[in-house]
Amino acid sequence: MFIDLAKSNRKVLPRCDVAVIGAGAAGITLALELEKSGLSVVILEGGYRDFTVLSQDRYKGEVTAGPGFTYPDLDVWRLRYFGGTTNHWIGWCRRLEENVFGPRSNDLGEGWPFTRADLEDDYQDALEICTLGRDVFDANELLDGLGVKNLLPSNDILATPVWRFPKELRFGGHYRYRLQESLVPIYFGANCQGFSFEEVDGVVSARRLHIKNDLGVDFEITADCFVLAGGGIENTRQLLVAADDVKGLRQSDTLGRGFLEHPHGAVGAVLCGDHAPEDLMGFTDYPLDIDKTQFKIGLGLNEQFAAERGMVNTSFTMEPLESIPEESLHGEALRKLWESSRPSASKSESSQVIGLYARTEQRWNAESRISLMSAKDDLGSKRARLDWRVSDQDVADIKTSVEIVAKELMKAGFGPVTFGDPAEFVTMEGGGHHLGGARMHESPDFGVVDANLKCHAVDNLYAVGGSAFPTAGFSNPTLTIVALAVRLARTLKERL
Amino acid sequence: MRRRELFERTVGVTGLAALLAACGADPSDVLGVLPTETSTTVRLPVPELEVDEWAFARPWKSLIDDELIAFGSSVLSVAPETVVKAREVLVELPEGSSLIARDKLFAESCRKDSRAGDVVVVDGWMVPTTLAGLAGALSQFSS
Repeated sequence: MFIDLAKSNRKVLPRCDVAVIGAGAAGITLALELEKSGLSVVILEGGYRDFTVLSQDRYKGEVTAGPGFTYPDLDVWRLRYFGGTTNHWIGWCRRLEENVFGPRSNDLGEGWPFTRADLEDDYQDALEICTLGRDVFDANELLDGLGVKNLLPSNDILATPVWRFPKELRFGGHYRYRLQESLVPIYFGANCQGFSFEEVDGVVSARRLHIKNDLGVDFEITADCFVLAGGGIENTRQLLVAADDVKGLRQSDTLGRGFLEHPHGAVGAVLCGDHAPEDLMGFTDYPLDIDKTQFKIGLGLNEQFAAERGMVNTSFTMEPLESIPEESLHGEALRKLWESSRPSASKSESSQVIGLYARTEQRWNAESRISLMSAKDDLGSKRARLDWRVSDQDVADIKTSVEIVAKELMKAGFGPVTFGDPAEFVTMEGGGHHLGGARMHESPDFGVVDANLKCHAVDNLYAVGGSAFPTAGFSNPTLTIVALAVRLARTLKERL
Repeated sequence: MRRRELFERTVGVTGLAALLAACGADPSDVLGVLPTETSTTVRLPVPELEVDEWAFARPWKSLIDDELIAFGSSVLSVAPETVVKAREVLVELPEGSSLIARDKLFAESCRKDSRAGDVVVVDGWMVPTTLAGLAGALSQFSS
């Protein structure tokens, strides 16, 4: 049931069991899961069924990034309408690495307050919700299924992470009719302005959510539980606004801190040597699995190998290139030299080029943070500011990792590898993955939400999505965000 | 002089002369840099390549340009020992070997290096040591 709040005459919306704020992957998943249990649920979406400039403008903010890193304005990678940021999602899906969940070694952060096995049932549901087909994330199994030999098998050093791509990418489009015909009202143009809290016997609860429509008219809604599902930055922004009234939200001094991205960027290129790009099905392209689901195989360091060295998790994907990247020093000379040392029959083939593209983890960093600006949007809400920081150690880990992977590639028959100009090793950007800012931790002294995604400081306020990630591995987060939404649905069903 | 010093630091001069010769240097130039005293470095067998085999070496000589010289010079400053490796490969070539045989030998050596993890990183390139050494040697033809 779709409702345009600009056309609503009721200033007080009907009370519900659960009010979900945001209609992206997490919000839609949560609402649909809760509806199955008979709970009354509403979704409050700031945007509309389709993109509008007015709504999108409310995501504008201010961005800074550390040296060598770039980040676009906050309205570029986030989309503020039905389906949320899945509206331009490319679809990379895989579970988070197992070592992300437990306590991390060295300075890699606290880890998740439960194991990946604890999330496995939710991952199973998430695979289905994301239309991912078979639960096969093993490179050998996928290639065997296509009758192709794996030329880069994993070993004690090298891992071959697999991504799968959904058949349906847009949550808004895919679940539109199901939601339209459901009992879940979706209010469009519902811009959340903040909560009214009350404290009884030392327990703080959110009583009312204040909303404005696009015309600036005030509305409000009461619910047993409120769930922020607006994405990593918007969830954190809402909590920062709430923290003016609820001091407990700042107890750990982690609110807004520990913003995590997956540093992305071209970090190298390899000359083919004994292998042509077309010999590397799955690594250099995006083939269809036997169930017609696309997949991609990457390279990375074995989790245990990286953990033993206290390194962040890293992965690299391979894409054929036309030529050696211009950033490489002496590229043409190396190409000719390499060809000259090859048997005549394979000279030109051996110097075909495959680019190495990193998608990596970064350490939890208190200085990498989301905060509130004094500038406000047209409805009077403070805009978000992002200062993304990646530590020198993270960069060093990426460099070490790509060198280790390069060595493994050469052992497997590839030619020389260039890492570009060493003086400019890292010129990286994010992946549009907004993680952290309201991290999950069992203790209110170290995190904002608990293992059930409930704010430690507010008895009935939850935040689901990337904001809760205490560490982020290198895996693209959407599948895990959906799994967390399923997990939260189970929690709320038990509670209510 | 610089060429001679660099090579003396890394390989026996006699063997070096052979490497230079194989790379297409003028024989008289090679002889000109030979010391009159006995070198203290270990001398390796010298491949006795015929002068009329210069065609054999020309494809390598044609690679020499400013870029290669820059890379090879970096090799000599970062990993001069790789020139030894390149020479060791070269001396295995039987007299009168063909260009194909040379390519095959170097390809096999590069492959062996790579498989053994015997690589060096120079100017942002990870390369098999044999290849690096070859670049180092060829870079000495700058003049």
